[in-house]
Amino acid sequence: MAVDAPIDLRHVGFAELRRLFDDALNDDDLDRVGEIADALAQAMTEIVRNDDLAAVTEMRGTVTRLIGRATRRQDEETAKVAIAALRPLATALAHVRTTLATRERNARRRRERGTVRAQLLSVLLGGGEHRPRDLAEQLDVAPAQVVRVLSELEQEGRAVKRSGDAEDRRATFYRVAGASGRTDAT
Amino acid sequence: MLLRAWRSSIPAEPARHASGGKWDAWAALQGQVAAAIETVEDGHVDEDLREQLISWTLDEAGNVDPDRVDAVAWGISDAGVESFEAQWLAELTAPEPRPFTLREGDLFPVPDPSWRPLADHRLTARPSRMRSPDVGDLPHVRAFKPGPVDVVIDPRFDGILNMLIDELQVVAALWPNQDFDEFALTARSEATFTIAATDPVQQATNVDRVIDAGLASGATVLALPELSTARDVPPMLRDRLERFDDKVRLIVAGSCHEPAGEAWTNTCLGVISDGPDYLRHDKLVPVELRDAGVPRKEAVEAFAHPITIYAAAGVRLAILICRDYLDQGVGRVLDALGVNLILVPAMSDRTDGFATNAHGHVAATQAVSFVVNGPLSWHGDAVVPAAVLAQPIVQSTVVELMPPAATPAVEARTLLVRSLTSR
Repeated sequence: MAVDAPIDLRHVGFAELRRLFDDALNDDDLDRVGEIADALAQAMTEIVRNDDLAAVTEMRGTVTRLIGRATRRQDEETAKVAIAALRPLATALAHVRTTLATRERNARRRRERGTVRAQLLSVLLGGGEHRPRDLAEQLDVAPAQVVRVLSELEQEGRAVKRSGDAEDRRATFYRVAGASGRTDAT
Repeated sequence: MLLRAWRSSIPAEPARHASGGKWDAWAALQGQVAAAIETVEDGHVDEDLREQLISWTLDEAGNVDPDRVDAVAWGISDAGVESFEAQWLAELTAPEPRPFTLREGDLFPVPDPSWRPLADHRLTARPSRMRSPDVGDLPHVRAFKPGPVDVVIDPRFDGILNMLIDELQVVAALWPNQDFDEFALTARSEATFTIAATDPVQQATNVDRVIDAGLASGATVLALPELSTARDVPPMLRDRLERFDDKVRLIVAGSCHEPAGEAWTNTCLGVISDGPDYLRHDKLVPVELRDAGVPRKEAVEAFAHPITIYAAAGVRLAILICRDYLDQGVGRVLDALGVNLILVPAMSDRTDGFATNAHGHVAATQAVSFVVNGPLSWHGDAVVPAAVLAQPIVQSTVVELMPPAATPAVEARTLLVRSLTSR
């Protein structure tokens, strides 16, 4: 059997990788399957280091596509070996993807809070005292977001919180800092 | 664990339904929980954070307070949906991915519409179910309630589906047939029928031509109409797809009537590049027609098969066939499960209901729907629209595609990236 060249995934597109993988399965070439898994693991290490969600998603897609091809022939021993070699990579990439997706979502939520903050300030600047619940409903924003932004505005001295009224000691109201307090809640 | 505790202690009159200070305290704790979870970069709730969350469920006397449990659960739902979903998928895929049937009370995550192609767009309003979930549900965590049809969750395409969604920019409607006259009804009993193209060789040629044009359009998702293919088409499509290039694409391969023992199915297979299997849907709601003045029903038993939801991180994909998409019971099941990509081959002489339902799914789950109806005319009368495309983007929510002038025809549309032109 001819000696195959080492696989460098930086220079191998998916179509070529798929062909190499199929050839390895067709030839029952366990060494070649191992080389492909090793090359993927090495590429994975580099991609994970860059914290790039799109690249991780693509890498995970590549691994799961090869698993998909092997799964179609899972009655064959070489395919079983290939699946066993590739599945841990897919699992590891899933973990990394979750971390990066969570990070991206948190960043998005921070951006959204910026929008909510502007909207809340706009309402508060309109005057009067406002209940957090009314503000959440008015702006169609999750309650947790509204109370977090109001709390931030209070800490920054941009909003003033008043607790309790005649009917409900625990009730809270917010108004813009510097304005006189009124109870004409929205 | 906390979610289970929450489900066993749901207050009869939850603080979130109260007004004044009770609501304020509930929302403040929820915000505190969300903030704590967001400080964990990988979303993993470690032992310390878990202890912290548990301590927040206790009142000043150290007793579990159902309202505080409720607030903590909402905070977790708000900030920890990715973690819960990742754990949910990990359990479904270890030691190997396997489809499973949802049982009453099973908890399942409902993701936000956070697809990469949607990131730069102003989205439609949050689904009402996220704002005020049913009793026993959280905004992003639902408890399964049995409906008119069993539900199978299939995680085997996780990874490939994420890649598909990341690259989802263009969808293509493929129309191999001009008129219903190109099809024939075959009586299967006194009152039932099946439908197939009258000239299978010509039909195969037409399908070939639209597949070629669809792939050349660069579409990521391509869909053929209901009953436009035959049993031997999906393997051919898979081979064609994987030889074409190295992108991940999905072809919804129309459907065909197939014998299944003494019964019949109307089966649609989805062909995804390098998938471990075909995606599959068997029609749930048979159509009734008048054949030469005689009322006949499609030879398919109603609700005899489950709906399969193909699950990946942030993705819930369902394939339906024609009237399934118009059935309110099926629609409620999809909405409850947070299905956010619905692909529908259809064969109908009227299509006005599809756009209405597409609007409904956008409102309920911010779902993308793509309905492709064929043939383009019935006994000479054009069927308008010929396809419906819905997406949760404010400036372009539902687009109805006009029938092209002649067949075979392909209409490729850019989805999610720029504003579309409606008819």
